[in-house]
Amino acid sequence: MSEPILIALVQLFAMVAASRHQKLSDNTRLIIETYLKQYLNSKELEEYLLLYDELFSFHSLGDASNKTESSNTLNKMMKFCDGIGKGLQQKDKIIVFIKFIEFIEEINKTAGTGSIDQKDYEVEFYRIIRSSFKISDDEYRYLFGFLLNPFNSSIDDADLLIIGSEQDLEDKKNKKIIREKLEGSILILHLKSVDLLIGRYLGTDDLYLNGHYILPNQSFILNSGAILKNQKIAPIYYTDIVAGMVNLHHQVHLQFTAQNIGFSFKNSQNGIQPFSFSAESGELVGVMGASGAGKSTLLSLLNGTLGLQQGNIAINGHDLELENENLKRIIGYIPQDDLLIEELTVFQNLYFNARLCYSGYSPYKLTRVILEALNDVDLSGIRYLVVGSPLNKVISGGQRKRLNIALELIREPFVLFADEPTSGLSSMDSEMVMLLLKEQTLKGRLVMVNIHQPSSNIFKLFDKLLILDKGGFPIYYGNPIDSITYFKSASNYVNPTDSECLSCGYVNPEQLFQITEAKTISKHGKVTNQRSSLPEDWYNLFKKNIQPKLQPIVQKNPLPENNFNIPSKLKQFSIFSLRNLLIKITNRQYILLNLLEAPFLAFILAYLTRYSIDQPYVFGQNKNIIAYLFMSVVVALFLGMMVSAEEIIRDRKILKREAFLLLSRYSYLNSKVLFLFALSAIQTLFFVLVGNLILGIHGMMFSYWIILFSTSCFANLVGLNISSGLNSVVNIYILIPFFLVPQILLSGVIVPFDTLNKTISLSESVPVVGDLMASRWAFESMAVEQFKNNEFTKPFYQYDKELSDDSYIIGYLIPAIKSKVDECQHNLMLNKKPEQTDNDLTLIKEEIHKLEIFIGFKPDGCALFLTKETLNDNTRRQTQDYLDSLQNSFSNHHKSIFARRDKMYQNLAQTLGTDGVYALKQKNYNASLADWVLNKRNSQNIVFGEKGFTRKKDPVYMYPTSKNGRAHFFAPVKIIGNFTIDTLWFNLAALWIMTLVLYLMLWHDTLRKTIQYFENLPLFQSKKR
Amino acid sequence: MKTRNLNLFAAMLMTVILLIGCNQSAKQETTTTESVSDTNLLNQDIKPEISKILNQFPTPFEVATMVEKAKAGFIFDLTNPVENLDKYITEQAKALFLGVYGADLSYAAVYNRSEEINKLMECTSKLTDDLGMAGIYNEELVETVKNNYNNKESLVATFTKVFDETKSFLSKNNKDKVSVFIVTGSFVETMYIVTSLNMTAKDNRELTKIIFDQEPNLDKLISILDSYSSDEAIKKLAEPLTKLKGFYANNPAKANEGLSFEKASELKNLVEAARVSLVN
Repeated sequence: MSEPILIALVQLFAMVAASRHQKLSDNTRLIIETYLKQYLNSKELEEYLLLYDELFSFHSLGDASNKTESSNTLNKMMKFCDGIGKGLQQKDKIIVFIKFIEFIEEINKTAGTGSIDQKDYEVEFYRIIRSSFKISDDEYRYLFGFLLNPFNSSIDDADLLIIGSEQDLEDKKNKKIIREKLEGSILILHLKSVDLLIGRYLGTDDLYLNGHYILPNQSFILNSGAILKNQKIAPIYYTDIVAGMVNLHHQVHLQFTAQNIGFSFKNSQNGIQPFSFSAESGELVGVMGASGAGKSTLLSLLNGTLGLQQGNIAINGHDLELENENLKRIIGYIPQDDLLIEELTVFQNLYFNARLCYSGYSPYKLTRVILEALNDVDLSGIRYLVVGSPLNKVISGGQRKRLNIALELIREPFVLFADEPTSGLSSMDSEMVMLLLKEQTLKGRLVMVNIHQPSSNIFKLFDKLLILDKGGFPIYYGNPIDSITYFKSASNYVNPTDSECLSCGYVNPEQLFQITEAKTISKHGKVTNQRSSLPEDWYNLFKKNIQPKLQPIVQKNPLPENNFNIPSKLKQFSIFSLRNLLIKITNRQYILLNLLEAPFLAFILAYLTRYSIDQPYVFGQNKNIIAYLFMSVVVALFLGMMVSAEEIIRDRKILKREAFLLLSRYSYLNSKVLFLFALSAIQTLFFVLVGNLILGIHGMMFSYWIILFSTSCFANLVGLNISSGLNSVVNIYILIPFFLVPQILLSGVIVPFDTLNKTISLSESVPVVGDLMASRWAFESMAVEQFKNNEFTKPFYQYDKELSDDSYIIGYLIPAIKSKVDECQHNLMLNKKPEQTDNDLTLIKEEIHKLEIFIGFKPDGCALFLTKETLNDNTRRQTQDYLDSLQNSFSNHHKSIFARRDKMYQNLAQTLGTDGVYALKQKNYNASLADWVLNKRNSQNIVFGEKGFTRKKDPVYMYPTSKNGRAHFFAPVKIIGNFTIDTLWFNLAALWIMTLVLYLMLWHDTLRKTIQYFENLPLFQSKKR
Repeated sequence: MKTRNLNLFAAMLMTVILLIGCNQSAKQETTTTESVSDTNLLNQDIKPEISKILNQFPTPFEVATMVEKAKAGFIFDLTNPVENLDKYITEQAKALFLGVYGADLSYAAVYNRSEEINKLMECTSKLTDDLGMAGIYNEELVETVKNNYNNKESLVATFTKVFDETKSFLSKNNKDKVSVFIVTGSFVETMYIVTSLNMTAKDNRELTKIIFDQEPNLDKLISILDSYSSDEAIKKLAEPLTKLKGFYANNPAKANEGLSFEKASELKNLVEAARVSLVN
């Protein structure tokens, strides 16, 4: 009863009372006081009575016996009613009207009907109010009939619900709710126009509405959540009444059957023992059992997440396993865990969920669906609040649970499973949640709920109860209240039918467990730890007594339709991307840190390494460029991994649900990848911009950016893989050094590849472990690119390369060949190491052959001299002379190349001036870097091994020897077959191939599967008893 | 279906990358094939007499040793800065300054200056390498030098060997012109050091003697340069040297007498002009 209504009533009462003879006023006041006491506490009551007195004296200023005064009163009333009319809703107006009628009747009863004039007067009152409040004739009659003479009035059977004993209601055609022990009957009228339920109790028992005593012959209004209680009967819920009123025939009919279902876990005793049962739409089924009995397992089996090992489950005859996809559309599952996205608002959570369920709905329709769902769970008020984490609460625990339920309800499932929906909630919130679920059954759904320790009220809500004992033994299925009787009889209790308290109606669900888990008493009279009846015993009893009655008859019927429609993979991808973006944006700290981290690191790196001997700073003389390049790669790897490490693990539970809904993991992964790549692109761009600017690196923006970007993307995918494969966040961070340390060590910078452990290193090319490292590819390409393609070097490079090749041949190779020839001849003479010498000679011949081809000599000019048989002192000298002439030719070649190089320089000097050229060199060509890539720090220039002579001099000028893409470190190009590919592009391709492989691994979830494989090996299994 | 799409995408990506890469390097293949034919054009036969003079041209060690004996100081600032190494890009420049650094190296070696020897050796080795004579400064050499910083004779012997090897290599390979440049650079630098020291020494009689003793070498050098009279660059180098010759002509040597300060600075300026001309 709201304040406006009460005030209106007091006004009316005052008016009417004042119009009557004064001598009645005391009685009237008493009546009013009694009436108001129902709704107000003592303080409020005083206030209202004061108001009444004032109004009464105000209105009784005239003499009421006068006819003019009466008409005045009537006018006042008319005005007043019109006035109220604007302030009250129709529903409230009717309530006022009802109360008014009752009031008048009460007065008539106590104070006598009064004169005929009075009677006419009253009729006038009613007429005024009726017309002013715009109450239809039908309703008027209904109300009057209901309030004064319900059983003989002309109320439609459909609109009247009667609650009473079976006997009393036998002949009534109205809708009924049976409460055997009730004395008399409760009548409930449904006023369709305003959707109002009005009740009256005709009987002598004490009846309470929401804890308040109902005055006899007083009507009461039933709102949502109302509970009628009496000591002798089961509570009557609002939903029961609504259920009674509503015609359920046109709703959906669903039959859920489980035949002989059984399951057991690998290497464990736990599981579900075979049994059968069935349930129908409109039923609320509860699953109870001690912890570890197997409730969650059972629920997983029933909703199709876990596969049965025996038996089958069918909905309307359609097998769950065979028609999984079809049935998934109508099954809903609310797990115990929170599935909410903490960064988004309540509305947004529902929004994304709805979009993933109903592709093709217009935004308007989506919003409507969402608002409906919010209304159902009573969360409309907080829909724009961010959900927040359980630790950092924005919305309460009860609200979170209701939101989780709403997420499922949006899908309009016909079968709804909920795993312990009341865990962690206060008793009031629990009741609210359960009522919500009960309401779903009224809409024709089948709801199955796992529940652990229901309160008495909740316990009584269930239509059917399934009880599991430890080990997955079903021990009861049927009416909840009857369960207590069943167990009591089975245990030979006295008074087994005594299931609920006679006076207060309280049922003790704990009794069930007290009985089933009763412990034996030792001979000393102490309670032991052994159960007197084991689960198997109850199970056998179940099979004997209950199971035979439960054999379901499976009929194949069409499945109900709903509008559930998963969007296409592409659409899912865009929805996931949008959601991801929104989630990230809400966390401002995250965005700020991520965007600022890269330029900040670049600033530190570049600023600290900005050193040159000359001041002001000259790029060419900076000795730290290698360090900068290396650190950039490391930074790219670090950043890439850090942003992606937690990505998937955070969404674990949501992923589980999305898998249940058959949403595409592929689209989800792609959305993550897209976001991370975009972030990497931005971060590396900032990094390169700041770093290159500070260090004065010119013209390398794009190359540096694309290499670092690719490196970062590679690291992103590593992070995603780890995130997807591991179960806890801590484990991820433990893995990170495993990944990064080898990358740093084997990048070729910290430890040169040549000086790695001999079992790993190769003389001619980078060892395999090096080739597996992204850092190696990235660093090499950056260093080579910086050296080779800067503005100064680029035009000279080809000349320098040839000069270097010639220099090597002239200065190292040919002298080395010469020495080798001498050595071989010496060995042959002394007959030392004949096999090796033979081998060496072959290698020498090959090498000479290559040189001859290159310089244009006729091949094999001295091959005849270089055999085991022919090599002697004479032929040795001849060979040396030949080699000298070879050397000479190369020297000439060197000279000519140098001349052309000089010419190029002259041209350049003409345009820029010599100083200009020098300045250009200083700006672009870094001497320290040159030392690195020209291997100047290592004095080894040539090595003779099994495969012959290996060049070590000037790696960056040396084309690789192998044609399969493998090459030495700092190779300027890589050769595959007949193609020569610039290092930058080749390395980029290598990085992207590795990234692609990681992507496939992610898709296939390789890491997780590998871990699971190892965990399942008997070696790692913990011993189970 | 998904794997097919992925494969397709991967194949496309690879193709694109390869194409771009190949394009880039395709252009750069051409120089080698042409070069062999050009070889013959650049051979310039040197007259045997000149060749002999060239081969017998004294190493800078002779002068350096004499300077040290005269107890003149070691002033590192006189030497050519090692930072200028990057400036020498053309063959001529590299050769000239190989000579220059070689002279500086001799100077440092006779004074056993390990730090400076190191720095200068780096320069000479780089330049030697650039000029196509890689292999002369090998690991063994470096080790020997490092172990004998204090042993003047050993150092002198080692470096003399290096210079001789350099010259003989160049001669064998028809690169006498390079040799000429080296010799020129080395002579000018030596003269520069001596004449600068001359100016600041209290008793410069010994240094003056050394300077005047160099006249025949100057003559030899000028004659070598003259044999390349067709070459513009060499002509430019010869000019200041001819002027220097003029000084010698005007100021005959006086026994046991040092040059006056004015004469010494005039001399030094002439040499400095020659030194500056090396760069252009």
